[in-house]
Amino acid sequence: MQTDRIKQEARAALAEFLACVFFVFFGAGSVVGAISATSDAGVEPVNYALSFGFSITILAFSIGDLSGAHINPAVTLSLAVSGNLTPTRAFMYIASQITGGIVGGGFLFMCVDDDSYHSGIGLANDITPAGE
Amino acid sequence: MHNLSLNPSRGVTAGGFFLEFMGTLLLIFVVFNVAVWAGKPLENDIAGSQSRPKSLQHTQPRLTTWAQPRLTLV
Repeated sequence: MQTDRIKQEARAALAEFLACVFFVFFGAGSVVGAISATSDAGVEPVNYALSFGFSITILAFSIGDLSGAHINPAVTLSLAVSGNLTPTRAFMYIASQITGGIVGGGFLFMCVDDDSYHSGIGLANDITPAGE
Repeated sequence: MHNLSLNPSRGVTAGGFFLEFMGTLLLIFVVFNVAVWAGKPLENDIAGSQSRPKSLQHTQPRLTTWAQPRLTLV
């Protein structure tokens, strides 16, 4: 019984990790790709919103049955504070989410060159020139 | 940005292959998990009533309020 519970929690944490990897990689990657493809022309903010929205939708359908599809430490923390999540599971989720986000960003950094990676979100180039 | 291998006229790079790999990984991840999820019986459906959790199998299923037998005193 205890082994089953640990196995289930580990599976849920792994699902959160993979979901965060994919979410950061494809969400931020879509922004980088859009800016890189349009060069000087501006990209409509709705493109970013749709890419993140579709990403979170398919990931929620994918791991919602396994872990609840938090994909956000704030969601996990709020559920833990409200007593809907055990502290052990919340800790595993948050650790997995943070690690997954870092790994997803690293994967994205491996795929694109430095100029694209440091292009920022593209909405305020003159205010937040990331990487400069 | 490195070129996607979907556009071979712009050349094929390692970053493009990695993007393709991640996209394929996401596709397999989503399709597999959704298939597993869709293959499970519904919890509130008659078809799923046979698959109760092991921790509850020794207990009697709880009847809903409308299904409780009513006793009438004559």
